[in-house]
Amino acid sequence: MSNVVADQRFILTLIDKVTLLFPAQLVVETLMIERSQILSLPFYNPAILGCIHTGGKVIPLLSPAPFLGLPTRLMGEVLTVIHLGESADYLAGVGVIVERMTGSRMGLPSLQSQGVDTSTENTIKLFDLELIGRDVFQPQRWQFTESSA
Amino acid sequence: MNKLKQVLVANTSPEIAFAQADNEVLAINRPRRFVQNHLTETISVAVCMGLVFGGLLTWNMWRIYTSSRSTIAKQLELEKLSGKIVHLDEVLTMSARMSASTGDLSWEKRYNQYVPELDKAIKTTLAKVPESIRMEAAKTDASNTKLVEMENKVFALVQKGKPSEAAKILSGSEYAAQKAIYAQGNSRVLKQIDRFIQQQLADYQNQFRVLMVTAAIILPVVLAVWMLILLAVRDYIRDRIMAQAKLESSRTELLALTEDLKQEATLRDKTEQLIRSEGDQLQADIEKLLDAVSAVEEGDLTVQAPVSDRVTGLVSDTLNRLIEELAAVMTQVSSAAQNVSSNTQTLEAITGTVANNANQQAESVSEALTLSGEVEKSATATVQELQNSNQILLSLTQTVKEGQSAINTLTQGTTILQQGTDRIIQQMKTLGEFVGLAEQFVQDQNQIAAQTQILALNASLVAARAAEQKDPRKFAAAAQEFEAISSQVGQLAQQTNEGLDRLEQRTIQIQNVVASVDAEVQELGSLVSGFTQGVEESTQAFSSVQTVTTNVVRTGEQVKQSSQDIIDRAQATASAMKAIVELARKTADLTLNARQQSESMGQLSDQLLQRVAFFQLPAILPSSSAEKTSVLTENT
Repeated sequence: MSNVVADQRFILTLIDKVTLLFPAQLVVETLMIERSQILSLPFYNPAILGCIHTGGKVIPLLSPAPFLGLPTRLMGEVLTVIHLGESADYLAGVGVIVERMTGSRMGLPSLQSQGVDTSTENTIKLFDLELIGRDVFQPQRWQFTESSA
Repeated sequence: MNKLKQVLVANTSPEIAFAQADNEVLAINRPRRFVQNHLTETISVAVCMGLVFGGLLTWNMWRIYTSSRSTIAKQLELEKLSGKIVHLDEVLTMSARMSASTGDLSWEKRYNQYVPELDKAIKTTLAKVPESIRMEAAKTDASNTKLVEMENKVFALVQKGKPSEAAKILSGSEYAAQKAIYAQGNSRVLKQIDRFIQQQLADYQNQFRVLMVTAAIILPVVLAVWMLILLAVRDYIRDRIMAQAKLESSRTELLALTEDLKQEATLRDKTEQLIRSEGDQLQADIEKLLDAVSAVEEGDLTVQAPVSDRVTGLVSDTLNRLIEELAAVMTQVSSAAQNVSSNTQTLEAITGTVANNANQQAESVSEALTLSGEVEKSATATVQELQNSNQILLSLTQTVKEGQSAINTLTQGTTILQQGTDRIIQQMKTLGEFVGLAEQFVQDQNQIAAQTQILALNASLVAARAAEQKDPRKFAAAAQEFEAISSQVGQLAQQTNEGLDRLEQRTIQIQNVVASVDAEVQELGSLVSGFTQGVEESTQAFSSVQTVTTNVVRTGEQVKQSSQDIIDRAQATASAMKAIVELARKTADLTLNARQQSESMGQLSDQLLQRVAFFQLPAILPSSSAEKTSVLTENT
């Protein structure tokens, strides 16, 4: 991954042992929701946990753990959601579920992208749209049909 | 039996089957029995019936056969004759016509040749038919005569050389009428003849049918009768054969029995003669035996009975041996009596010695009594020891009471301790609840902090967007978002304040609980020290109890040992006494018995000597008497 500009702000989140960095320009807001608010969507990729209705908007919820190669875990009662904005291209309006937020900082002075933080032994990754494929929101049946075709 | 089987097969119930079979068998057996009982008459009747019916049948059949044969022959002949008549009639007619047409006189010769044949045929026919047909034929005969006259007239005319006139006559109506009458009469006669023959044949057929029906009815009856006769004859023959066999076997048995009886009779005669002779001999021998026995009765044991090879001789021999034995016994008895008298003297001496022994036993008994006195002394000492141990036990009881009181105080202390610990436990539970509440508060605070962090981040994001926004409306929207965020932050702060107040209250409560727990623990500490002191006192009391019990046990052991010794000595003394007593009793019994025996022996010996003096004994040899004495002693 290429080096990031020093004056760009990043929101630090933690998913298992991976520190995922979200560029601030992609993020609209961060939310804390309860699990009971989630409306599950069957026939979709298992990474898509469902959607919620909050603040007059319907936000689909996506878990990046499968794309990062992390094992899936049970959801807690309260979830932290990174709501992506319009600059997130095909992921605009999507809520990415993380374990917790660890903070925010300007630039990446001492951390290497896709490296290992020696202080905490956590893997550091920068959130990239390419990480999540474009067909993630395709229903499973259509995908099967397309693959067989 | 076959009938019985059929009945059994036809019926389901065996009892009914047997009953029915019995009835049917009875029904079958009744005529058989009647026939068996009247066999000769039945055979005669059956033979006569058979002959009569057979003769009638045969005669009728022969009659029908001959009649039908003659009728058929007659019919054939009549048919032949009728054909001949027609043929000859035609010949005569044609001869006359040919003579008339040709004028040849040879036709007249032919005519005259066949006329007698025709007449003969007609006569023959009329002879074979009944009167009614003959009368019918007589009507035809008149026309025949006329026809013959006309034909003779024709021949006469032909002889005269007038064939045309002859032809006229033949072709005239009168000739034709007569011809027709003749033909009709002939056909009528022939039909009547035919009818007559058919009627006769029908009669014969009816007769034959009747005969066959009669035969069909009579023949089974005859057959049945002959079957019954056959069965009766067979039974008769079988019974006769069985009777003959039985007779033969009884005859042979009788012969054998007579032979046995004859043999038996001769044997009996012989044995009778033998018995008579033996009886006489026996009587003589018995007289001699009686003489010997009377001598023995009088006491003479030297007498001997005469011996022979007969039964009485054996008896005499036995008597002689008996007398010898008796003599020997008597000599032995006398010698034994002498010995008995000498033995009684020795017994008296023995009894004296037994009495001395009894005195000695009495002395031993007195010694045993002294021993028992010593035992009594030992037992008294044991009683004193026991009294000492009883006192020690009483003191032990006192000590145990003291220990029990100490234990009671300890128990009370432990109860108080337990109550204190329960209170402490309750307060610790309360403390645990407070801690849980504090933990819950901490979690809530963490959540609030996370929310605050999120709100702060959102605020920073909104601020960044607001800074980028150039449009006032979007800036206003960003400002509203800020306001919302700030209100959320205020709510969070309020929640935090409330949580801190609650935490403070909880902390005060925890402090109070901890103080009370501290006081309780101090109380428990004092209680524990008192408890420890009580335990020490109890320990001392128990140690003193232990020493006392040890002493008591030791004393008990000593008492036990001494009493055991006493018991052993007493048992030994008792057993010795028992043995002495037993010996004394036995000795007394023995002496008594010995004395009685000696007395009785003395009496017996006196009696024996008196008894033996009655017999006259032969002279005794020294060696034989010694042997007999030794044998006598061995036997005793």
